[in-house]
Amino acid sequence: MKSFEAGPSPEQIKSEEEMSLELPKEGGLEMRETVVEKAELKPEQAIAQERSVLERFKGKAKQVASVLLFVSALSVGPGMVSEAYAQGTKLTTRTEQVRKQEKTKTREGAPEWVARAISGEIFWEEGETIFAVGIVSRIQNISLLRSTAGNRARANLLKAASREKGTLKGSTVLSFWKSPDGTMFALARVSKSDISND
Amino acid sequence: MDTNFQKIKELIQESTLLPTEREDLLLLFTKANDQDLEPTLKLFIEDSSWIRKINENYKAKRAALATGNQALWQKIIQEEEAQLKELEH
Repeated sequence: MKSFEAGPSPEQIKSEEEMSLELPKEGGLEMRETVVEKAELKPEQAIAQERSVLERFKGKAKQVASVLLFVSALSVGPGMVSEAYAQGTKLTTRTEQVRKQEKTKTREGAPEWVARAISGEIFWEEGETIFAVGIVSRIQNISLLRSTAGNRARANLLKAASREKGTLKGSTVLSFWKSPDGTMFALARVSKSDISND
Repeated sequence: MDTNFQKIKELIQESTLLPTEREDLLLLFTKANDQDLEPTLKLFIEDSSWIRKINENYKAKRAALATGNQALWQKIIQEEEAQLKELEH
């Protein structure tokens, strides 16, 4: 017969420790995780869940929900922002599959700098040079598509320069790449010596 | 003319967030196209307490995404819904 004085088994103690984990709590957004099972979180599912929240609210709550969705999309990757706000489509299992296929298609044949941008690295440093990528879609006019992508790449260089606490004196758009789905990517560069610390 | 990012940056730097939190939150917004930052800027201007709330929300989401924890993400979404329902009243 099992004695009650023996206490819980090591397995029981472990499962109780895992039951509840305190998370950062401040400013009214209190969170407590109950670990029942660790199902894998897929980015598309995460965004779909967040968007379903947005669709249920109006007015001020909707405004806040929209920013929360934006934060989620950016956290997953900048490429997810336009997907998060896509109108009239719900991310069902079927559309998730299609989107995954489209994403793979987008990456096919893409230069390495495009792959970096898709994965969320909008700007980076290589030695004394800073590179940044601008991404634009849904513009039919090819000339406008290129110039907008170039301008966004330059704007992202500005952000990088701003992080270096400096201002940009000059930049160059080096290359463009258009994905099969019509998204235009532009790569811009600036030398660190062209960032002034005024 | 100041960009939305620059305005958000000023608001975050004036906030009570820790320097590392400011840096992390700014890094998140550097990934966005400037025009997409407008609703966030509007929210921060209307009520600067949202900077801290959004930061806490972002930290929790980042933790969930980094670990791929579906249960944690679900919990965050439920908490968000509760907060949003309060705003409706």
